[in-house]
Amino acid sequence: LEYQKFQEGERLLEERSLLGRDTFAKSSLLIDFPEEEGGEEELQAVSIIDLLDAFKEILDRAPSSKTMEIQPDNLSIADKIDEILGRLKSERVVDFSSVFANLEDRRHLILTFLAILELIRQRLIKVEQSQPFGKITLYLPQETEQ
Amino acid sequence: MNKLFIKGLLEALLLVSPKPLTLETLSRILDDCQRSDIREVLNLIKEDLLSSDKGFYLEEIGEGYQFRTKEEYAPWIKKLEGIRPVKLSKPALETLAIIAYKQPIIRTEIEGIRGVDAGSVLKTLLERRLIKILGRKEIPGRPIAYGTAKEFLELFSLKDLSSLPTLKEMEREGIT
Repeated sequence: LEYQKFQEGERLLEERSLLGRDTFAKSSLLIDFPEEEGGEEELQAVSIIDLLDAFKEILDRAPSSKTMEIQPDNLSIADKIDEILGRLKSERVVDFSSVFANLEDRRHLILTFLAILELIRQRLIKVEQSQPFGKITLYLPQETEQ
Repeated sequence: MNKLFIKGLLEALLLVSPKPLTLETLSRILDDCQRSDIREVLNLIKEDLLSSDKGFYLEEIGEGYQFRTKEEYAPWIKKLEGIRPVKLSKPALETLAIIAYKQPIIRTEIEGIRGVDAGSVLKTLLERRLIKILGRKEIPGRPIAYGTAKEFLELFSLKDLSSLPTLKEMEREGIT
């Protein structure tokens, strides 16, 4: 019964003036998905080693704090996960290293990295790079939740 | 800037923009114009096109404005090189309808209604940016909740979600 109800919805939608069928416009919607910058590079899967290498580079760049500061810190991996997902939702494609931008505290860096690993494990994000040792990008998988 | 100039300027902007132009964007570009003035001129353009024998009209979609070709020209426009007609498969349209009317909705609910796996359809719809992930439902497992994206409104020429055609069933239940 519920199915039939939505069949009506489907019919109503189909009757509308559909862009690309009944009406046309200068619209990015009618052009296929915009290519990534740099054109038609094949994206390659990223191994955990690539990720670790990339992360090590970021860690190396981070200033090593000589003084130990102990701050009450409520930041959790879950917060980081939400933050990364939030960014991906609005930007769709996020550069791996840019996730770490503006983070100086090593603990935050590590927390962020762990969040990325967790997201990959749960298949909530995908990571790919355009060439070996190239930039690594994160994006939302087209695959949905299990 | 006088009104005539603004009218021409808005037409020019509408002509080149690859996506619907929102009032917000327009008032950022025409920074010394009142929003209400811009809206007024947009309505002027709209009426002008309606009353003339021009081949296009001004459509309001998803808070934005876009020039659209009149429906009667569609068969010829499709012959234009580089124009790829939009085709939605039956499962895609069906799933889109369910999501449109029931968002936020999780995958298992969609599958419950359609009775088949929704994974690949959701994938296609996400890829075509017609739907988006709204967040997670605060129920066990925190499943992903889907909703329609701006591009959905554009594709179906809808001003906003509330201008979705109402389902009889929902009218009867007084939901809408």
